[in-house]
Amino acid sequence: MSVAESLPNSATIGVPQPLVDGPEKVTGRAKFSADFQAADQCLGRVLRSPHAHARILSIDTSAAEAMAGVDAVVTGADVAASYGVLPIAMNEYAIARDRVRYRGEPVAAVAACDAQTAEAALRAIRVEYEVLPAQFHAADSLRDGAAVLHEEKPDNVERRVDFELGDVDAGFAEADLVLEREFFNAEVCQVQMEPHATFAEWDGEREELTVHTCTQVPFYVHLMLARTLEMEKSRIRVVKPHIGGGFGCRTETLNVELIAALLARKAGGTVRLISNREETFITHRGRPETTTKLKMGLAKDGRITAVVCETLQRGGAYSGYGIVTILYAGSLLYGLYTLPAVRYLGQRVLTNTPPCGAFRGHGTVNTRFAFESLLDELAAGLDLDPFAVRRANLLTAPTMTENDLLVNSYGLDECLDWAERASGWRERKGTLGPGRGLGMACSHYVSGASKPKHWTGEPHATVNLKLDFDGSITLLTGAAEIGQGSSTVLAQCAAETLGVDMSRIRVVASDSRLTPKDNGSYSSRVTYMVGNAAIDAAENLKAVLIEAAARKLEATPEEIECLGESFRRGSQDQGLSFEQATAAALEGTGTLTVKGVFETRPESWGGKKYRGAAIGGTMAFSYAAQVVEVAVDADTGEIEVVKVWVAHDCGRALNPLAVEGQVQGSVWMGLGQAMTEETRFHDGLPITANMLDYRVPTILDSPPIEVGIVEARDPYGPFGAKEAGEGSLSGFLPALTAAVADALGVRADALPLTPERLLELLEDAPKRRRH
Amino acid sequence: MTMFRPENLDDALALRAEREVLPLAGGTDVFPARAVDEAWGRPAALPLLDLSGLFELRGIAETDDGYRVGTLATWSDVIRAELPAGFDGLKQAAREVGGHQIQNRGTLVGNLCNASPAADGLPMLLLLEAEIELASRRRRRRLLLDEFVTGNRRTTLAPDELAVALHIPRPPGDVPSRFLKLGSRHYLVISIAAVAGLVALDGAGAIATARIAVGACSPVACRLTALEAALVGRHIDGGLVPLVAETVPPALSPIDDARGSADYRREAACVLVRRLLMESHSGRVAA
Repeated sequence: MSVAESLPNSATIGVPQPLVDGPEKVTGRAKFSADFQAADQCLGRVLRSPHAHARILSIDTSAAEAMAGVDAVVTGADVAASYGVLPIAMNEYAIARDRVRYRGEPVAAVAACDAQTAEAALRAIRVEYEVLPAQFHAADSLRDGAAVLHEEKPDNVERRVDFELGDVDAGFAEADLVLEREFFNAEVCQVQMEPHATFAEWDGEREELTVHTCTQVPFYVHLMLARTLEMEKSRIRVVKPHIGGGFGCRTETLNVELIAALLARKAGGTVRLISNREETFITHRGRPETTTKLKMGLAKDGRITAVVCETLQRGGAYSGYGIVTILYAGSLLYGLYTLPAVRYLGQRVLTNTPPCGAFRGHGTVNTRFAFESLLDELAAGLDLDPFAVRRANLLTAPTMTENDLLVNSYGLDECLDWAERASGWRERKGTLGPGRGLGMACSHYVSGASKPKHWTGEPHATVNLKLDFDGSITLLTGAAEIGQGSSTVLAQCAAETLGVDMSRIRVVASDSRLTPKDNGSYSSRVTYMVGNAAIDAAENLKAVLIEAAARKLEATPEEIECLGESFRRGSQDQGLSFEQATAAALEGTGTLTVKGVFETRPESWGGKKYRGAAIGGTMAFSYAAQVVEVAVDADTGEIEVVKVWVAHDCGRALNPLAVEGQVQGSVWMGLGQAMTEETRFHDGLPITANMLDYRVPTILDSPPIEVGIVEARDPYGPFGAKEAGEGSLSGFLPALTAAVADALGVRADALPLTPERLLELLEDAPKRRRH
Repeated sequence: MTMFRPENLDDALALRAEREVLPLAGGTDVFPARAVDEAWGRPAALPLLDLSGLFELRGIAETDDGYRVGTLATWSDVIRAELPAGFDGLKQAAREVGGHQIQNRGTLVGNLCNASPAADGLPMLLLLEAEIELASRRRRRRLLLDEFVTGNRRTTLAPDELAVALHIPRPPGDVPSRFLKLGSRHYLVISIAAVAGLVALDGAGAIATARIAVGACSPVACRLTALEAALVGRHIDGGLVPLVAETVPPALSPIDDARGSADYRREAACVLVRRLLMESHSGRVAA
């Protein structure tokens, strides 16, 4: 049973809590990576490849090195070791060696006394290239005779995933309607508010490196710095200051972070390397351009009988997270509905474009768009209500999916009920008049990956609590607060368990010299895994305090009643204050540091039925259902999202304020991908690498988003909680196109659904299918 | 990056005559372009001639025959200025240029000198028949805007000249003008198509005068002279739809680009012109 069941009335859990780092951010006192300055710093600048694919014949840096004010010049010759987030696919170099594979790839970098000198030095570097043929779309890289990007992948396929579970042919035979469609999603980018920045300090006397950088994964950055600079890990310190958003863009080490460190060491000093917005776009790590060919069978009673999904992803020039992305796109077909038979063929293809990464909703979004869209069309074809079709395919927790994913808690049914009721679906659907429509869709996401990428045998999460003479509790964690509320939720978990006021807990996060290692903020792992470790640590600390109080009060620990801020022996006893209990606990031992850990359970580790089947394994899934209402201008193709109603099952809303914000943010990000955002290249040259041409929605494009919190408690979640920050994203895309179909009778299979694309669909409509 | 910041127009013109410099007013076009250069390691195009010290180029003032808009007058200045109804469309255009920060920095004259086909200021200024005043050590001259902006990113500004002001004649009557813009999001967006119009009706509700201009659908925004002529004497009703469909597309020469296809721009321009005309029911009688 979870700790939640054994606790008295909650003081901090389930109560809206402003984020603990709010005052710094609101007043502007918060320091971000770009805010670090030193009197003797050099400025770093990166020289980027003008070619999408070329051999580097020679680099002459002598003129740059000879310039007054230039402290260091680095090239690929300074980096012997490759890097990459997946131990099995480290094929990238901080600075290109021998070959460049996308336009904008770093080929050299300089550190100089000021920006003007640095820029002049860049222009003084002579690079001789032999231009090679390049491919900019996945299909082009797969063609016979296509240029090979990496010799060890002669077919340009980073990973092919192929599995069939259940009897697909029998499933289609049983179906009353089978449809097959091809869906397209443009490449999208996170566009987090803060551009990349790294502040790297080299201590020449000690040969030690300190790096402040805007990352979601300080631990992985630490590993890659050690690898790239060929240094002992113990001589490196990585600090993550305040972060202006991540959304997956920073879940792996970025080349600019490594370059800053290389420059600092070579310059023998401090280097400040700030990427501007264009460079942040070029560094990329967004969601890949994806084609999804989907075939699905539906029975008259609404049951899904079989699914065949073929996914083609344009991965970009290097591996990055690619293998995980293409695996997720298949494995997380499961976990939402009962699927008796699935065949999946996924291909992650190498192309001469900037590498993609792990964007919020990693791997699931484009697949879910295709899946829910086709399910909606099948439902219409069999004259079934979209809600009824979902209800005909619900899972019953606890269960294992066909691909061995553990589903321990499941609130999709409640999500459906809420979204249907709140949106007035039954009364309003079909009555809104011309140009208006309602659509719905469901989605889900993992609460952390149960198998870590770097298998070390350590627990998934470790939290330290330090209690000292002053009665303050310092929570030390490596978990990266990136604006999502990581530090707040950990303070809540510890405070609730101890029964103390939240203000007694101070969180120190993400400084490798002070805090225990943590894998970082990605795949929605922090609340579940690190939250549980914080609870464990707090329970351990509480036991120490109770034991000390018992000693002082001449009782057994069992006799001690802990009221959070006081400890007493029976109700007549005046007892000890927290300070007195602290003093008792410190007697004979001094400052206390206790530890808490979290381990995933083996049954959550995913299966072995196909290669890579562990990807998707998680302790808990979140669930979401949403309804989107649109008003469409059929003359111009403009779509106005009138309102969104979204229910999200997060197990238990530890901080309803943060949950609501996360769910709204997810929907809003889905809205951008669905309607306006698109990363475009012209012969590999980024042409949308600014915030005017890469169009995230403005506040005027943002509809009211009403959030319904559903709490299907997870038996192992911290106080029953599951993830809240990703699961609602993917549902928006198909709910939008379903709403447009409801309004105008045309189904959009390609996103973003810009006014122009919609107008084309309308013009072609008489020739095309309408539902 | 080298930057000059003269404190009077004579010094500015002297610098302009001496060397090749890029005049800088609000910088909202200059600096984003600079960011791209930085990312790709390209040198700053030219030294900058910062005009912000030239107080004589600020502000919007009423003159004998109309209004003078200084080169440093921002979009926000336009929005706040007390101007007759004929400028309503210009204020609408100003509100559609970027967000508040951009409106506080960006200038109307800079918008013209940058000469983007999608410049939101030009359609309204064309139908207001504005002139631009150019100064150099050699001369001062005034040009109509169709003589000034001659192509995509092309103007007739000489290398030693600076644009110092716009002169806008008092608009006819008290008829409000309108500006409609289509972009792929609701705000902070480059126009796919933009339409400006000033339509006055006579006592019987027939169109007395019509001035209509379209932006982002040709290398330079243009007046729809054929449509303007054909509209005179017509009533605002469904009968105008075929007239718009017939006269608007031939006047345009849109291109395909990342923001929209030529076909979509043409179609969008027709829709916007139609909507603008339909909304002109309220157009008051011309003086």
